[in-house]
Amino acid sequence: MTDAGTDTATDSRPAGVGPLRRLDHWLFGRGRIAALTRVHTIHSAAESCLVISLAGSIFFSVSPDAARPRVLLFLSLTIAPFLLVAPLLDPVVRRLRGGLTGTIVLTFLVRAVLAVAIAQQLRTLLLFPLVFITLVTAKAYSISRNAAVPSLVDDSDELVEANARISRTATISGAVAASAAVALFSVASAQATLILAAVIYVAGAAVSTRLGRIAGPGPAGEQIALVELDQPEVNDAVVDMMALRAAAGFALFQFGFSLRSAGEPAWVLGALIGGNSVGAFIGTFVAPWLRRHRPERFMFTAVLLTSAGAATIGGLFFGRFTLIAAIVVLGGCVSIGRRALDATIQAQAPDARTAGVYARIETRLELAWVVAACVAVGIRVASWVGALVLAAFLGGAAIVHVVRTSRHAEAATHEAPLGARLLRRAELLANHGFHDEALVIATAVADGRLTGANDDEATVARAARDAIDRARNAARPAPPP
Amino acid sequence: MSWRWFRGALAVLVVGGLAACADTTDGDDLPTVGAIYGAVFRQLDLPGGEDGEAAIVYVVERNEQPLSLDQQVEVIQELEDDFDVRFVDEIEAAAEVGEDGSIGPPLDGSLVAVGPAKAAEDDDDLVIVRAEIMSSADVTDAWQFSLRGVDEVQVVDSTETEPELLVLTATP
Repeated sequence: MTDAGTDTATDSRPAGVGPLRRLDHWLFGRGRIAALTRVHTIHSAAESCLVISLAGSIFFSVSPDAARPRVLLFLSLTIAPFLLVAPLLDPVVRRLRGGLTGTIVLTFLVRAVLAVAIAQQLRTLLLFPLVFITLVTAKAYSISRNAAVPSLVDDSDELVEANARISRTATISGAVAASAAVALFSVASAQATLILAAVIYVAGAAVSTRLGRIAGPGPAGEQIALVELDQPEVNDAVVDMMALRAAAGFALFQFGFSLRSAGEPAWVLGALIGGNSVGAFIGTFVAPWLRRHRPERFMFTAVLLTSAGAATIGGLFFGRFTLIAAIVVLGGCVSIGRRALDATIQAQAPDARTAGVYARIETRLELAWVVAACVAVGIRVASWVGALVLAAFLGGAAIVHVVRTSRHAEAATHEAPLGARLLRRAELLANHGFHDEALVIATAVADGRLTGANDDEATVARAARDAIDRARNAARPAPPP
Repeated sequence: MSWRWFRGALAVLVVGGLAACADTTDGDDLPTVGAIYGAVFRQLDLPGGEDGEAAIVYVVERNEQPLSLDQQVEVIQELEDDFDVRFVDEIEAAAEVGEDGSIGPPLDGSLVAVGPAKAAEDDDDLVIVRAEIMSSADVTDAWQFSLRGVDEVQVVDSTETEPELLVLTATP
């Protein structure tokens, strides 16, 4: 197992490195984050093989309308793990031996087994549950990977660049692997492509072990992170990103079904998926440029309006080309939005580099994706109508974003009194289970009235709530006599 | 996220899931849908595939009660050795549409529609089913087949009839 020190020693060699090493640095970065970039590069390659292999599955033999209820069922079931995982992920990751690294290795191994199982069941009904377990593990991996990034960058200022590089390199490896997978699919079979995916997943699991232990800070550091994240700017950025992720989930399933219903050839669907990746790739170059010239808030305004405009054009002037172009733009906007979210967290919450806290944000993003995918499968509309629904949603999200951010900007000029701010902090900590701390802050606001020592956690939680209520009542202005 | 909210959401999901899974099933007396399609496809004398590959057959679902996902998979598996069966929701999803709006069979396979199987009024062991195939642009051949048997289904009679399923409904 390679530790951070080894990488750092290698990377601190004098300048004058060869072109291969420069390419390696450009692709994977330096330090501990390079290991994670390699892991995600391998994951992306395996993912491409898996997706290509599904072209030979029963998905493309049954009618879209017959498949809708089953897909909707399993997508709904996909939500359940998120509802369950969201509150539990933090303590599980903290207690799991190996932390996030263990989770990532586990998802790779499970996906390797699933790829082999899918190879056996490509033409049976068992394909549906297997693919949706694969989807759940993909989301679990995505949450773990994104949550690991802040802990692996040497400086919080590197967060945006590191995420952009991971995304860029993964897109390249995904494209290369997709080409190889198509060739293998043509000369051999979908099963062979899946076996290749399984082999790559196993290789990914082996490489993942080199990440070393990704440890989060203690509860005290977590409290600081929680308070930092509970700011209007960060909340707004998360909500905006949820809208963009929802748009991506909706687009994939809406056009996946509607294009098949209309008898469009498989290459059109492939072009849409490829277009999304191309857009994401372009986004990793546009985002840094945009960020140099404009604040993150503007980046979100721009991407929400641009993607809404592209979807509108895609719907009104519907055709293969316009739809693919709209998806390229959407992919780019989601990518830029992601960089803007990272930049916001980087600027507003530098202490939020903890696995658990970050994982909660990632869980919300993935949940938005799945819920929107459910809506897309549930409504049976033509592609051009779907594009207009997407445009309306993104347009609405843009309006909400503008109204909300301008309201926050106005509120910032009238700062809330200290008591109110402390109460808000106490409430936030109580909501996340830090009852002792909430109790102390709330009682301090309520002019030092202590509730006394408590034995069990439930009693402390109740006492914290009582203290917050009392503090709130005490802070209220007295009614006129 | 409160536990109560989570339980409520989960209950909705379970109920929705069960509703989504509710499938229509054939009566006990009728042969399986896979066996019926197998017999009908053999009778239609569909063209074979090229280069040793199974011939593509598009099946349009135009019945009031279309086949469920499980039934479609059963048909696909039953015929997998000979045909690459692909179910579609609309004729236009498989047919070749000319610039003048004319509809022709797909370039890469055959276009077929099979009606619902019904027991004959005077013979409970006899199953009647309609099948149609688009043979050329705007020309569709239609038959009514009489089938007998449960495990091994055979066509015992066929009558040519007017096409109903592979006819485009006029749109304003």
